[in-house]
Amino acid sequence: MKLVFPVSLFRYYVTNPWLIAAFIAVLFLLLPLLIVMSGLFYPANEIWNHIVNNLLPAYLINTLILIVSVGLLSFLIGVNAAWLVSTYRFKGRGFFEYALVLPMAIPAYISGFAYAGMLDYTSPLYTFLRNNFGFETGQFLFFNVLSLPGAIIIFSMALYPYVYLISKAYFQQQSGNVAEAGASMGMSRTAVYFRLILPMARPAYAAGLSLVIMEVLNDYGLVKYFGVETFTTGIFTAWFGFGNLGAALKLSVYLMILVLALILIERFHRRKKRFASTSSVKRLNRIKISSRYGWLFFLFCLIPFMFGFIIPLSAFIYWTISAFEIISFDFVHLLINSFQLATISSLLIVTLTVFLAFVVRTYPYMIPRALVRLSTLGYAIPGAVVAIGILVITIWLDQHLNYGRTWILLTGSYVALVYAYLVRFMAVGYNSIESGNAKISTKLDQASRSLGVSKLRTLVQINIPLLQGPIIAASLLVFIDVLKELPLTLIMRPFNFDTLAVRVFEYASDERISEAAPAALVIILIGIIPVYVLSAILKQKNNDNT
Amino acid sequence: MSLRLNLIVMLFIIMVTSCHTQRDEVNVYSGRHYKSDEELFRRFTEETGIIINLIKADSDQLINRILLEGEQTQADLFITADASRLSRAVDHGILYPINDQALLHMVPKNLREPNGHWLGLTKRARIIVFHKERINPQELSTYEDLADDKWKGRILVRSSQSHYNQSLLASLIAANGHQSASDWVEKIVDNMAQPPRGNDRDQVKAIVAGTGDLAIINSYYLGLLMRSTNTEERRVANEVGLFFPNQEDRGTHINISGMGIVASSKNKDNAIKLIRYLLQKEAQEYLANENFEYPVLPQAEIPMLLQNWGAFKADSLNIGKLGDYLEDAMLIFNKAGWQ
Repeated sequence: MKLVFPVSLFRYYVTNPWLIAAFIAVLFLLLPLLIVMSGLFYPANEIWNHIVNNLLPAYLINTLILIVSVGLLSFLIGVNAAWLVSTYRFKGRGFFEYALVLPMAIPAYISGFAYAGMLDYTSPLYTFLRNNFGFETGQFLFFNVLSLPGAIIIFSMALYPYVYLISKAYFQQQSGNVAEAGASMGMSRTAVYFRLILPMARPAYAAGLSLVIMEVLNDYGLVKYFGVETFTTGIFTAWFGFGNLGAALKLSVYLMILVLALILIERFHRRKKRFASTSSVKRLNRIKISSRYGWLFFLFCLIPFMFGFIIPLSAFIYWTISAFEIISFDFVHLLINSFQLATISSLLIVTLTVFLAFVVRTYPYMIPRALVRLSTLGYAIPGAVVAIGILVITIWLDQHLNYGRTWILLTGSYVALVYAYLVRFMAVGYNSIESGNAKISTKLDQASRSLGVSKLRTLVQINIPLLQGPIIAASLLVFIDVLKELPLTLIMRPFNFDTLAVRVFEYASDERISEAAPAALVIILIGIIPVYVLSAILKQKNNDNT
Repeated sequence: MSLRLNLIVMLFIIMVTSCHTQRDEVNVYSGRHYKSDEELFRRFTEETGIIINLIKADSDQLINRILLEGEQTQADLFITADASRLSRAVDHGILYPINDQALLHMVPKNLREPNGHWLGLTKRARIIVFHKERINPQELSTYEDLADDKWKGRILVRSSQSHYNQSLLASLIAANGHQSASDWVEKIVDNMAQPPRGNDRDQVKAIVAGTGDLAIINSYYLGLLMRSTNTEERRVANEVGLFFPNQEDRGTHINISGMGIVASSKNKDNAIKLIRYLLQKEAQEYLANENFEYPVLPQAEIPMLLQNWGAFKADSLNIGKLGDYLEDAMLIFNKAGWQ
């Protein structure tokens, strides 16, 4: 460790172009969040006291139950399924390896609409059971899906792929040597899994889990429809219901603190453990197992795939077909809008995150690291709150940069919307790139630098090629996220500008699920393309490595 | 670097193309998300050549957006599906008083703001629907009566987040006072058949499924169920009866969709043209036929289905008064634990 005096450290910060550029980027991302944080200084008024006394306890309890349960279920499904398809040979393995990612193409709220529609009293399923088997179906047959447990299951089935995808990439690229070492010491594959692989895979699944938890914290569509009151619905209630921006900002700050605490706890536990590995990538040999276990594993993979993908997808196909005549298929412009937004945003985010992750890697000091981490917090904040922060900025700019005309330049523009997506989805890109970086030994950078290669060339020629997998993963994750994004888009989109997600939400909340179905189908199908490409590239990469 | 240059050029193009040039247009911020509205807007553009730019979102979010945008707002016309939200918009000073007396007088006095800040577009009644076999309509009388112990475990109603429930409670506060309304909410929570979940249509289905015996819903949802393409939904609608509460006293609570011109609007004339178009007999009847809402224009013909429901006495309270009690209503709901 190099000891530096504060003054010279300061001079170092302000003269280093990499750090300056990083600070500017971080400031740009942090600004809306700082505006939100200013809510802390709003005086507590009557509404705020009312919220604290009557509503906050329920928000807190429901939110905690949701993130703990969904986190646990996603972990159990995601990590175990990733391990099964990575290490065993069983019927359907090759299929499930890629199929298990597919639920990612269906946003949780769309899946929620599908289940609520299916388990509804007048749904085709219940009607069929009633009319053909004389079942006295109550309002809901199995259990009331519009409830906290219902939301937990739907979230888990929709979000476990985040854990699965990152864990699988880790298992397949990193655990070959470990498994071999374990085997040479006489450990069974199961023992290797629990005692070596799982503890080592922690950065991977922690990254996946934090994405899952943040998705849950941000969700508005599902919890609103299911009547589960969380922090996020509370923020909407305070801001829109009570018209009290201060209370909404205060709630948002507490939500941010909650997320920050979760991140810090995870970091603290990981502290001083190093996860880098310099050894060459070794592919895991898949073990053949008895058919009894084969069937068990098959079933384990089948359940999340069915509930997360096949069932909601079939429901939307059914609705689309059954209401074919009354549906309009004017999607082309919506499709172009959604596609454009998603492409531009993911390109920008990946460029920014690769750069920031490289700076943090090259200058592993507290301050840059903490600042960059903070700048990804937008992901944990409901889209609507990010929107407040951005709107305050763009309106201020529009008012102070007077162009001598009456029209507005930034507010309600495409640029502002993309800016909002950047603030909102930085974490998606950053987590993926960072966990990729964690696997690349810093010795490579040091070697490159000691040979007199510039930092820029090190980044372009060493770091980026090694990050190929994470970069592709990051861009696709962001792409899908933007495609699905709802609350922020609803507030910030320009005039006459709709996305597919907006269309689905409008029809579904209008109780016109069958008219929402075709747009939902399009979102799902477009979502499948990147998932497929991602899988194909990862597969290619695996083959190259062996 | 040419890539960087390209990016800058691209961003510049995006910024330029996202600007609005002055055209003959009107910008609508609407809390109503019905296809019928968009169809009417299309016809309006066809007839007048005025282009309509539309942003649809939750009414409260739209109010906040207009507030944030301040004088720079692009909004010309604000449309919402809840009367209390219209009052809230007036309280925030974001609406402009329309002076055109002829236009104002097309709408009945209690369905518009006295100074012309907003006028009604359509109206809907908050009715009681009940299971025809399990309940004799003779047993039903008023909203207040639903607090009676005989309804324990039988009432279905959606969340207190619903604007329609908030305005209903506001009308009860206006009629009976704060304390009485507060007691009423507590009794209703006790009498609920299940915690509030789902939308108004779900409440009707829950009656037929046997979860509860009666529900408080908006009238047009029943119409939508009756005319549904799903045969099961039509069957559900046929198993329930409809009741207009409080006919012996102040009348059934009604709510409106309404519209007002935004104070900082730059296209006020076009906005007025659009308002006038939407209040035409033809447009009013179109909305009534498509959505089963009641027209606000007295001359407009009421669709057959609504005529079959019979005429009813509506609460004559000026709709604008509801907004005065909106916040009280929300506080009462939260304190009583009505989710």
